[in-house]
Amino acid sequence: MLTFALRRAVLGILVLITVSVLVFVSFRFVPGDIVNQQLSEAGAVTPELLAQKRAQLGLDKPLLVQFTEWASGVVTGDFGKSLWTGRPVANQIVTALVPTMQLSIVAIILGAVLGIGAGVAAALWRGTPGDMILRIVSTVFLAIPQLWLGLLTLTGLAMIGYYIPLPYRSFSVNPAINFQQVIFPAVALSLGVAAALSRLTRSAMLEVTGADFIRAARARGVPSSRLYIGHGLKNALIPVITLLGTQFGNLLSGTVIIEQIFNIPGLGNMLFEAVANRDYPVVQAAVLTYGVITIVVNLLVDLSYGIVDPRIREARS
Amino acid sequence: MFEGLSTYGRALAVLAASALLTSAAHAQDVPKYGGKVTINVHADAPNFDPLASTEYAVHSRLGLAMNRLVDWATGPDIDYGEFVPKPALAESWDISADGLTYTFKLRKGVVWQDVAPVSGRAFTSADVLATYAAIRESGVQKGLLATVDTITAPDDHTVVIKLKRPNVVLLQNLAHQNMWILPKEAFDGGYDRNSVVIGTGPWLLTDNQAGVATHYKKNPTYFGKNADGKQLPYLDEVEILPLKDLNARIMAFRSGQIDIWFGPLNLTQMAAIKQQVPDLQEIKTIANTQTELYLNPSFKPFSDLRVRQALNLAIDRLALGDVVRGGGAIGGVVGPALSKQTLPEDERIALYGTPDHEKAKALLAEAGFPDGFSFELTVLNYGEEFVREAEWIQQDLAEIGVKAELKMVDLAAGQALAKEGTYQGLFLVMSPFSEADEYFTTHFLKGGNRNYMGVDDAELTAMIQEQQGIADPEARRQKIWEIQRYIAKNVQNPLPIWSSLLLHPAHARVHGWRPMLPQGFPSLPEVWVSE
Repeated sequence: MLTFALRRAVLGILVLITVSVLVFVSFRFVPGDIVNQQLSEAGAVTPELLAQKRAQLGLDKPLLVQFTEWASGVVTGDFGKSLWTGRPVANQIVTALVPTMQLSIVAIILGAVLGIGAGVAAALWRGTPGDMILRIVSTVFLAIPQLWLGLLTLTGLAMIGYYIPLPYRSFSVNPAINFQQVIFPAVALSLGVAAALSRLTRSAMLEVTGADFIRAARARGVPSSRLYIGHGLKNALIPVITLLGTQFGNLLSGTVIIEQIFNIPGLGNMLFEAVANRDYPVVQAAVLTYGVITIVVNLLVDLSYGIVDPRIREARS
Repeated sequence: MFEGLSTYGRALAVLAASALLTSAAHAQDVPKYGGKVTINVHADAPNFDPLASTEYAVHSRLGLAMNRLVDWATGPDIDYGEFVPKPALAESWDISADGLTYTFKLRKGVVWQDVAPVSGRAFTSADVLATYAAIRESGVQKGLLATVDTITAPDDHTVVIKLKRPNVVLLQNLAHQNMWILPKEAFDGGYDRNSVVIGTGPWLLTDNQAGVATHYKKNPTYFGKNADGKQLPYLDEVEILPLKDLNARIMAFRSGQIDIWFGPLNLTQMAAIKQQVPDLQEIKTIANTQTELYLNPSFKPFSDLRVRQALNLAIDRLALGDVVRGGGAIGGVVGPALSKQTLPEDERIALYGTPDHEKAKALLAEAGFPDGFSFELTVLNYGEEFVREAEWIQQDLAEIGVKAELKMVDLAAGQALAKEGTYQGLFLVMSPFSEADEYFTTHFLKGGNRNYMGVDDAELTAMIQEQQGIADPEARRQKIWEIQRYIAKNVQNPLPIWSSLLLHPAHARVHGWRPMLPQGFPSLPEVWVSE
């Protein structure tokens, strides 16, 4: 198991290096830079002033030098300074990561509970109106973009006279307000996840519940609840867990827009602004952070297969 | 109501009732001290260094804590875009007869906010010298002091600015939205002006959290007083929320979590808000920006003045403004928000708002394009209505056989294309300039920050420099109009399109709110709340 985890970790590092190089190079070819942004409203800007500003930010150095300096900093935990704020990027990332992770974890838990629950229910009610309703609802939520779900949630709340309190407060500062600020965007994010999980759980459950071992267990008089949850769901979980891992990645990308709509000062919000402002160090560090999270989640998913299925655990060991 | 009373008694009763009503109404109008307002500014301040960027999110926040040497006066009789100089850190000033020497007498008794390392020391001329020296060295405002020769301080409360040539715009340049005066310690390593804000302004910045809020509390040592000599500001606290999503801003305003709206809002959205907040103050002005269509002369058809004139004649701006924007004003070489400097509206309509497709086609034929031509029109993504304006222009141009292929880019990419001159047509929103001189020098002088068309016209340059030296306001205005007519006739690039309505709704509890063109909320010290 350890060897497997190490092998995946090494692969993960290679992926991160590739992502870093790709982001660094591709973003530099996007037109526009931060100095133009900073001086956009200035009346008279001489070429000397532009050159002076670019030199101050190190943007006049060759690309290879800029990348080497950045990469060597990253290895030592120094992500450089934001070109826009002048503050250390690592501090900004850590500050922004907390609300993003809180939002993502709440959303994925909600999505998993709703999706797996609905999937199991739909499988149990196969062919009934309940099954049909659940399938229609899941298709609807699969089709709706997260942006629209976010706006719909915000508008729906306003229509019933409820407004999410402002400004944002962290959980440690005010848990009650923080709960109100996180739960609704988390719901908006989770519905798509729940829809995908519900459909897969239903089909996996139907496949498993038709298997011989379930029929044998039923013949032995195993109670229905144990039959479906203890035997059926456990065996149907492998594809569901895989999808959960993939959905976590989608959910993270969804936070970029959802955080804007719900005024959450998270990583997505920060990345959105950094791209608009061509703040290279922040974009690179934020993408790297998203990469690390995705790799860690996928590693956890892979490791969890062994927990769910003893055959996989034995094969790995 | 007054039955049983004599005529005299009735008259007395009526008088008493009127007095009570008047006094109640008066009580409503008497400013009260205390309270808090929340304003939305739809972006975070990346930092607080006023010399590092022209970013409105920075300067609008700095205005609450800082002062300039000269400020914009505000009041019921002053237009949104009208500059009336008002003493700020400079109490008074003298201008020499030749217009070359400006002597500023600084306000005595002003102290910096009690923040280390400045810690409430007295404001002196050394602070002004240090700020202006840093700006002239590498500040983004450098261009505003381009005509300055020397700046000296004979004593602690006098600053003398000598110019290389007369420039009547100097006062306004010193009152420019980016020209905050900082303590000298900000420039000698005393503190990091990126993160620490120390000013002499009405409020003290107490904390700023990116994506969350910026908070201010009243500065007890602020020098400002209103016209009646009452101490300002009235408000104890101000909060700025960086709400980036329009729907989130609308919800926050409707719920009363925002008192004063700042930023884009269209009439439909305002009407929807008004349904929920019927007693809101519906303050409207003409936007301090306008849309402009740049035609790159390095693209062959646009090198011909007749082609540019043809495109100008193709666009039906008045219909565009009515249908797409639902109001506003036709653009001009100098934007219509500068009501005293832009050409009169009927003249702007004659120059830009009288489409004539037959004449346009004839001009194209004369220029050698009888069948029209195609070009790529780069459109900066300023939002839905802006893009609809671009689509409107596209359709109008198609009427004369000119096919514009729209290419959407984000703001940073658009600015890069503009600066590099690697565009054919470019559609964007003008900077919020506050003086005709800014329009002229940025657009039409060689090296100007907005001279994306490469204009280098000796006659025009001489005219622009001449207006900078005309001290008589009316004579200068005539010259400014003459320049605009010259540009319309001989340059016709960029094509001014439209200035939309700018909506500044505020809740009824907010009193004394008068939006003004420069950033920094100049009227906010006189704002008070009734609850």
